[in-house]
Amino acid sequence: MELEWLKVLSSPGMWIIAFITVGNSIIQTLLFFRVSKKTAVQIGLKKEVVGNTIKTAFVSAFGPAMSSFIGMVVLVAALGGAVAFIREGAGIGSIIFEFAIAGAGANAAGATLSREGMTLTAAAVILWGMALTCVPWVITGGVCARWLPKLKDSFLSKKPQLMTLVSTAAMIGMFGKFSIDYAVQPLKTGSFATPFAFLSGAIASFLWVKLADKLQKPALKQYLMLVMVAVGMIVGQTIRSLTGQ
Amino acid sequence: MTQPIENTPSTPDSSKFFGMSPLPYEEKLKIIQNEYSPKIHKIGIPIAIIHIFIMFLPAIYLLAAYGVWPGGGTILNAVVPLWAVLGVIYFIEPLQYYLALGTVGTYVTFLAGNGPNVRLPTAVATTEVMGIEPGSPEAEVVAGISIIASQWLMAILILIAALSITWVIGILPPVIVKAFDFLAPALFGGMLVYVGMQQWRYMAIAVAASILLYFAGVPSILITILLVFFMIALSYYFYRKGIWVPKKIVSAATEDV
Repeated sequence: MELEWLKVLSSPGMWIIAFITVGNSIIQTLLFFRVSKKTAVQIGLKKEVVGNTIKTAFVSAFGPAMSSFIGMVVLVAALGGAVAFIREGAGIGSIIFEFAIAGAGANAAGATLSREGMTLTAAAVILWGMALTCVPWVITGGVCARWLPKLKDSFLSKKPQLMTLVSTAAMIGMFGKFSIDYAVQPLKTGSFATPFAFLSGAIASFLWVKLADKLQKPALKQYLMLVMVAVGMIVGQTIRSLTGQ
Repeated sequence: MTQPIENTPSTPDSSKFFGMSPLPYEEKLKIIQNEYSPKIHKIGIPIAIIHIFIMFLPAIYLLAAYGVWPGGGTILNAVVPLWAVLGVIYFIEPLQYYLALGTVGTYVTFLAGNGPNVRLPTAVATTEVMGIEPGSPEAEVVAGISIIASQWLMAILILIAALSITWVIGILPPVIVKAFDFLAPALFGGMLVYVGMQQWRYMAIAVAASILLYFAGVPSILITILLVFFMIALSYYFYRKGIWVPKKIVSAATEDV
């Protein structure tokens, strides 16, 4: 039986919104393309440059774009196809960010980010949250793009390392809190499967990154999310079956 | 990379930059500054404003069609910690990427995402293959077109992925579907370690502090906010004092693993 929240998030209405969202981005690119094509001729680029650029870009972008496929698997499984299409097709944050807001949203609504634990209210918190946390990016990088060159010498760009460190520490704080939700709290109710899934995901992540570094194959990190999720799901489900929970 | 740089005239006869235009540098720069950029801004700004409203449509749809309104307080409880996390990133990332992606690239990236993992490598690879000199007026246009094309490709691939993955999940045996209950815990455990591996001491402090706050009886939602602000204050203080300052920091906000 399909869950109510998932049914709503995958409803035709949500798919229409998904096409409007991604459609807006496509309209933007088509309008930009019209100007760029004209400018290419104006600045004296050869006639075939535009066509060749598109072909080369398709080839160059294919590999990196496919890496998003792994993120899509996780996002579709958690929030349904339509929301995943919206977020990956015309959203701004990374998968890490998407799940940070999804986890925080579910938590704020008193739910958990699982098929049985999710509610329609939690889904609404997540959707409001995703919009509210992405809008500042559209303002700074889109609405205010015209003024970015003037801002480049501001204090913000003076100490990018400090700024990134502070943000990363805050992000660690946010994910640190999830250790309560998924490793400590379930133990109080005698549930071992969720904490084991959390810990095995953490261990898998650590080992996979170390392996990629040791083999000097950073491309392996593209599969990190798939590995930690697969390991965590297998361990969690096995523990649940063994304990009969 | 794509921002026109003063005093670096293009060299059309250079074999490495075989794709350059023979027009004088100043003439090309003038076209970019006086014609191209104003037109791009004229398109980019209103579309970005429209996108802000579009971003709220999924939530508004739930409210209008199903009457689901979780309450402003609940939404803020989820959003405030994230705003605290991303506060400076909102400003730093556009500033960093603007120089690398150019005007069109910035507009596309801050509407459709995937900056460091798709847009940047595509722009760099395409300008190189096309024999365009980085920083030249030609690079502004060619990198822009490459980023436009990357979004066309992404939209198609993401749609195929969304539909095919939805279909595959629909035909999976129930035991596998039930295992999706452990997707979030596995992901959060893995992400904590992935983000925390760069600053493992901060990770240890965050986990210890959250457990401490939990057993002290602090309400769950308050723990998130307290922890985020505590980590901001701690990292700022330690940076000023030169304690645990890493050599390289990678932002997790828009950087996909």
